[in-house]
Amino acid sequence: MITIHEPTDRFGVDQLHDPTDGHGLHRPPSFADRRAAATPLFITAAASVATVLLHTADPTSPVATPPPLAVLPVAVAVAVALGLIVGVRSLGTFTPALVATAVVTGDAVETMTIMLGMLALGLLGERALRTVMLPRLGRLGVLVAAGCGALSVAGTEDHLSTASVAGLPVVAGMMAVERLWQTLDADGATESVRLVGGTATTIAAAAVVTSAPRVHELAITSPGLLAVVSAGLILAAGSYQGLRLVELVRFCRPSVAGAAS
Amino acid sequence: MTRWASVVGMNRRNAIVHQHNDSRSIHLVNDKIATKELLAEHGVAVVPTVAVLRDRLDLRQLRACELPDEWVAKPARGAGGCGIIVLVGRDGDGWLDTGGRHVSRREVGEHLAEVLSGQHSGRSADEAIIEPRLSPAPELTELGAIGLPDLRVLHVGEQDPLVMLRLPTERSGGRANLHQGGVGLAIDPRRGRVVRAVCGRHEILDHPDTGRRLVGERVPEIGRVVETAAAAVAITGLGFAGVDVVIDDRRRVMVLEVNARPGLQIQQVCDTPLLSGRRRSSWARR
Repeated sequence: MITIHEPTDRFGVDQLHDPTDGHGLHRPPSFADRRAAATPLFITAAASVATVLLHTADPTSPVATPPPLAVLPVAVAVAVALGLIVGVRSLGTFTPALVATAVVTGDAVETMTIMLGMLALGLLGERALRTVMLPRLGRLGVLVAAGCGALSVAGTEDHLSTASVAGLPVVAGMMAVERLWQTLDADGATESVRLVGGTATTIAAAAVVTSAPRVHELAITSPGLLAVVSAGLILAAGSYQGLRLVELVRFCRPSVAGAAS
Repeated sequence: MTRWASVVGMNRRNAIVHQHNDSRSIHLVNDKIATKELLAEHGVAVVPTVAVLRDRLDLRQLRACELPDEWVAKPARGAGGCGIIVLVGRDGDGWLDTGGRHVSRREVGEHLAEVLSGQHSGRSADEAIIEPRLSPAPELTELGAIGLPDLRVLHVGEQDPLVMLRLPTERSGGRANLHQGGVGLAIDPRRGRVVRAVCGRHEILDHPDTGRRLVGERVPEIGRVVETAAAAVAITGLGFAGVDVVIDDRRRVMVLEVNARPGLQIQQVCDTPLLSGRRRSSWARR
């Protein structure tokens, strides 16, 4: 930027960047000026995005546990792939992903204890709460309050780690309970047991994948990149229109495929 | 691979739904009340409505004496048979359900309140439809139906429709849902003949409760069933739809509901993949 205007031999070069007309009067910026000003902005923005995506932290930093938000997209990708390609059905689409994230980023035993405790509370408490004519929303609310109260007391007495008491398993547990109630009402106990089995399978698969050393490392060093890769995998799984693996069994007997040949 | 190319799984079904059904039509048929009103306006017979409960005020104003002895209540936006209550006769101050259990007026009120709060349709609120309980055509009763069997007519674009009769059984608790133990019968859409019967994952010949031979029997009014379903599909604007049709004891053919995301079990029951171009010749061979 030129602030001092002197008739020097540098005039010809500096005039390109001089906002005045050479006589100290301001002239309107030309298209070329605007493009010249915009290009660095675009490059800066692109560089900022790249910096965020490729952000790397020191892998030797004292943070050993990956942040939940960095792990969650991977767990979701696993849940989506299992649902759309294998055909595993679970209690809520993303409930297993939340539980797996809590398992990997917190204490696995405590998380599963909380999750199973919420499910047990939901199953046992529902019948009692039905007698007082509470709608499902009210029943869920009471269970959440009861679960949170019990965990708060346990957390205060230092029986549980802070990570587990953060609420992720409680929220996931309540989502699972709500879906379990719906399935029990609509399709009965057999179907509900199937869904519980599918949920456990998805939680296990998502926990195994997200706790893989490479994923663990990327979640700490390049969470943005991991999210983009996960989104790509979800996109690929989501656009799959073929038969799910379980449907190969489902449509095999009675022989539907035979009639197509 | 060609063996499986015409079989439609859930992933492709969802893609077909998006290709053939516009969102306006989907929203329409998701609302059973609006669908019934539209079909009735166009002269298509639908199951009569006794009452519509839009909120808790309507529920408070509902009087038991105004209801028929046998009636059915269902959520306006329910799916998969969720939240349907079937009452088959008065019993003291309440009614009897299909299993012969006494259902008090209070229990009925609680159930209707749950329907209105959207618990059976996955929404924050819903409406309840009350309909008279229909008796099936005598020919269908003879097949061993417990409860009201319905015909699912499935349309995919311009292809011939697939027709399946769903018979409730003791195991399904009087419900027509196949995954709960009902029997699925593949029906020849031209002659109304039962060409195949499936219960669960097994092909059967006889009714599991009565032992009566099912394959070879005839379903009445099949021509009107197919015509009524086609009219419902045309009026609702869906290209891929499953229309549930019932035939009552006076042989009236009525639309029960229209589904924009029909299930895929009809492929197993009819032994015919959904996208088979040779569906017509497949029926001709039987």
